[in-house]
Amino acid sequence: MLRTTLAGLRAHRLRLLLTGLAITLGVAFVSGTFVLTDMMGASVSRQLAGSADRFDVIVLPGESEEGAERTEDPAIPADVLAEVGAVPGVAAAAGEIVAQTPLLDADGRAIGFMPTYGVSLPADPELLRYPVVEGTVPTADDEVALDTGTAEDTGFAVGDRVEVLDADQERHGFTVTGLIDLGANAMAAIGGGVGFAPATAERMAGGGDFAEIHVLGAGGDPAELRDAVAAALGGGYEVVTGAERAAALVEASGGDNQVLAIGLLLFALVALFVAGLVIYNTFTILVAQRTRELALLRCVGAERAQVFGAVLLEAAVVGLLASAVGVAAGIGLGAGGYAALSAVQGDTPIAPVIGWHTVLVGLVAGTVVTVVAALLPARRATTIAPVAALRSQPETDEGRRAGAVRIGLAALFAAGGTALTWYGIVLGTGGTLEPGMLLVAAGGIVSFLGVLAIGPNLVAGLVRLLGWAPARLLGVPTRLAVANTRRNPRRAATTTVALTVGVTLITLFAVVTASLRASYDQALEDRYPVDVLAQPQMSAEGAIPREVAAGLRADPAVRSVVEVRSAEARLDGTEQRVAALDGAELADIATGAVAGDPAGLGPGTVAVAEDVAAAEGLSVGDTVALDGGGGTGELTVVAVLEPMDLPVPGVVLAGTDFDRYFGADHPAERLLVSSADREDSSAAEAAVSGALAELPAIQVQTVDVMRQEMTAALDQLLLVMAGLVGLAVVIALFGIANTLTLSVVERTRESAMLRALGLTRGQLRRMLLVEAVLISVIGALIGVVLGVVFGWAAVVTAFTSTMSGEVLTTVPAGQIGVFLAVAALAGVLASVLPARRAARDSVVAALAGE
Amino acid sequence: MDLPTRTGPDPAPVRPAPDPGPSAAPAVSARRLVKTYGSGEAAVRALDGVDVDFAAGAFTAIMGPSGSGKSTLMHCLAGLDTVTSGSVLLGGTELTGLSDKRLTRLRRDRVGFVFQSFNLLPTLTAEQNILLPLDIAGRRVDRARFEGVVATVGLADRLSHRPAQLSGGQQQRVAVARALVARPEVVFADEPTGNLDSRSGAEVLGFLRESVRTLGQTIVMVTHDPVAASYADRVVFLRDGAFVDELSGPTAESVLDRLKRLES
Ligand SMILES: Nc1ncnc2c1ncn2[C@@H]1O[C@H](COP(=O)(O)OP(=O)(O)O)[C@@H](O)[C@H]1O
Ligand SMILES: [Mg+2]
Repeated sequence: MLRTTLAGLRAHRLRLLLTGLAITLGVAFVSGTFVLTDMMGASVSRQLAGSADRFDVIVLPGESEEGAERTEDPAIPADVLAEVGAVPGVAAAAGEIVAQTPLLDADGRAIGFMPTYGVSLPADPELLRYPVVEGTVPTADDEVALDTGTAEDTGFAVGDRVEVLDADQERHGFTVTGLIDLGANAMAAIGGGVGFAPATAERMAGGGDFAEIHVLGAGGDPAELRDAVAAALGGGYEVVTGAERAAALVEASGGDNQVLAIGLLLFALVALFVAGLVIYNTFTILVAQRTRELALLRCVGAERAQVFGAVLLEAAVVGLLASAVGVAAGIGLGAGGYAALSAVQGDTPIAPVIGWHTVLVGLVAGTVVTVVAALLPARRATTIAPVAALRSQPETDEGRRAGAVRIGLAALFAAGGTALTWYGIVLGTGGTLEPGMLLVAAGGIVSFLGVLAIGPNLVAGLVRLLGWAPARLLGVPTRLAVANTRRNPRRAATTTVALTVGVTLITLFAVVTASLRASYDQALEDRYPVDVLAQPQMSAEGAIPREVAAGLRADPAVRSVVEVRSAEARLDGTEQRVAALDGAELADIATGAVAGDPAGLGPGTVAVAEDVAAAEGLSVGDTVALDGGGGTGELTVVAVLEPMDLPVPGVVLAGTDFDRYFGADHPAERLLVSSADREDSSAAEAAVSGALAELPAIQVQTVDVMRQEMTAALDQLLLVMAGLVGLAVVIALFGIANTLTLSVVERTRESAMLRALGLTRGQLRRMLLVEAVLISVIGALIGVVLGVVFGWAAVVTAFTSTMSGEVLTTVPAGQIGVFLAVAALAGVLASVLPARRAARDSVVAALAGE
Repeated sequence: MDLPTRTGPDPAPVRPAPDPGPSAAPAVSARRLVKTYGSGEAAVRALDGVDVDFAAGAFTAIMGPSGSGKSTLMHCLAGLDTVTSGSVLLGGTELTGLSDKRLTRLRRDRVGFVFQSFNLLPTLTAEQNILLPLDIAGRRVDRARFEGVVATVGLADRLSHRPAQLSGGQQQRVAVARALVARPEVVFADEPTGNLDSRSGAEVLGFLRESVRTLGQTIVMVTHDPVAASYADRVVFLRDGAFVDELSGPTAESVLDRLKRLES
């Protein structure tokens, strides 16, 4: 029996190849993910380790004490460096200063989402922990180095003049001397960075405190030196060897990579699932086509178990071979992908990292998926009666109606999926986000199983519906194609549903991004007519003197200005950030009130956000005690506010009260400006920029630009998702091509007969083309429906409670139209090879059959 | 689903009505027909200079031992296969040298086929199968002709059945009806009764015979069964790819007799 199977496999190498391709692609995704993320991890580890293990000893600020509130980043006082330098056995030591020093753009305004960090760079190359990529390390007072990523983002290059703000927001001019990869610095890695000579850094930071002190020994044992330094400094600092620090950094860095790996593997799993569907279908068809062969085996005495084993063995061999090829392809793909990424980012290339899991998981996953997918077909093979060897006219299973089991199963899945999704939506809209999303996802999967169960009926129905008009209008080939698609509803359904998986996911992402965009746009429109925002960068603090707003109010380009002033205060004893607005302003920008009237905010009253009200147990009419820096008093709650989109603290006082508690000259942290010209806010933007000319740390953004940035970001997100789902779609297309090819083989005699009766080669090809397009369009249609429904569910679940304002579920008809068109086109592509195969046969040879 | 009877532009090609008399010009004729398969050492000369005419309005059987070239001859005459040399005339059209497209058209418009098995599309009903050639050609259905043919082959109550629901004999009768309904110049049949029991076979042959008598149909049938051949007006004998003999007004005995002589 084993020999028969292997001989069969050898005889059908092409069939094996087609079958295996689906698995190969899925496995390549899995292995490629491992290789890519392993290499990224290795590269980051190398960089981090390299930045630490070059030193013998590193001194870090002491751990902040358990429970103590950390008001500032812990730092090492400047004089500690001298103490460290005096320890016997220390050859050299340098302290690293790290401080927010915002880099300005050509217009003299802070650049980037966050302020850049300034880092001191020692002149001694032995003590420099970052790689110099281009140029030299700054040594003079007016020299600066840029992080490679920052240079990439800003477009500055070696030789350019740049301006950087110091800790007191004073501007300083510098010449760029070099590009340095500051990626090993945790702060600069996020916000971007600039590097200074140590003395310049001290001046820019407004002090010489260190984030770390790096020590080179005179050649002794690092551990001994560590103990010596620790003893010399007494307690209060963490003193470690460079190697220990390197190990800790590497360990801490694994997280990001793992998240990426899990994300990619989820998509790989989808691809493998689709590959499983394709394999299942292929084996089902093969078993059907080999009915005579298998029946003959049974005639000559093969037992059921032997037939079962033969089919599974074939699957295992195909699966293993295809997986091996997939692992190899994945290694190439992952390494190539990493090389492309590192080339873009200017990183140094590294050798491919091939872990045992890359090979093992790939092989096992691919083989197991193949064998599991072949289980049902193998079981079906055992039910072939020996007499089947003698049948002549080929049968169709069109007459088979959905079994009660199948319908029952589908109903069960549908009910279960709906219930799970519904409960998920209820949880999500109620604010219990994560379980809600998980339930919706589970609901989606269960519903999909329902579609899988009812697939044959669904697809047959859709073929009837969609094929009706074309069959009538487009002539014989189309009519025959529609009939062919209906001849094996199960086969058509499995082929179709494989494509549905990918289209569902893409549609879902499209609905989510379109809904986010629409809701965001709507929120921007609804809101207080803000056209221009002036605010500090993230994690930076802004102080806009009150004269700025007063001046802007007089500007004809500006219609109105809201100053957001805020300060820390104690509200009934709890620390809260309080803001000042007047009633009309608040009524304008508030999304709405849960209770009370925001417009009623005046002296002696306070409006609180819903979450603050809930935490403090406040409702309209209650009085609260406020303890500001400049005084205390009692205030009455006039309104409980819905969450706001705008960055306004949760406790709002009238301006006059705020002045009393915190001083009339307490600056604003941001300005919300509306333009006199509602269509074009550029004049208002220019006015705001002009008014803030002396405050370069404050960024000025128009809402239009923010909207465009959001749109671009969402488009990019959708593109990445589509790319990741793309492989599942490609596998499904192989499935369509595979099914068609096998059908063509099966229908060789039929095609010959049609040709004898006068069907031209072109018509024969057209028939297969229509079959493929019909299958792919139906698959895509089902996917679009599922994607829209679950996209809606996901949007409602995830955003109702998290997004202020209304959530607008939007179906991007244009994008969905594109998906359908691409599916149809893909169907055309999938039909090319089978159609050529069908048209190639000479009529006489095909009539001869077998 | 039912296929519509027809759509699209028509017109049926205008052809001379089949001439009833065997004395008229032949419907199909082959001259010095040679067909070789393969090349070099392995070359098989399946047809080795065949000269034969098939009279219009007559039922001719082609007989000969297995491997004598009967099917090959039929394929060449019907425009299913290309010839190596020689010529085939079908109703005055020279087939050799025609492109695949022209041959396809010719088969579609002027020739009918009945094969030994797998004659029907499993996805279509009997009626749809019968109308398939007209459908492919985009020709209007002559309902009277259709009903006449269907009645002749006794399929009136089986029209909505699928092939899988029909017996072998019924399937072949559908195939015969299909071959006749488009009024082809010639119907070619390759062992049409090879897979049937003798009663069903006799029925099918009876219909073929009947269509020659009442409709003036020209039929060329390949068979190795002397009883089947006895339904024909004339039998031509092949051996080793060459025309060797013929017999008019055959009976099963006379055919058998002639075959025995050929094989000796
Ligand atoms: N496609 C082919 N390739 C090679 N030889 C063939 C082919 N078809 C038929 N032959 C050979 O041509 C000869 C005639 O075949 P055929 O016409 O089928 O005979 P018949 O129908 O009389 O039994 C046989 O020797 C056969 O082996
Ligand atoms: Mg033959």
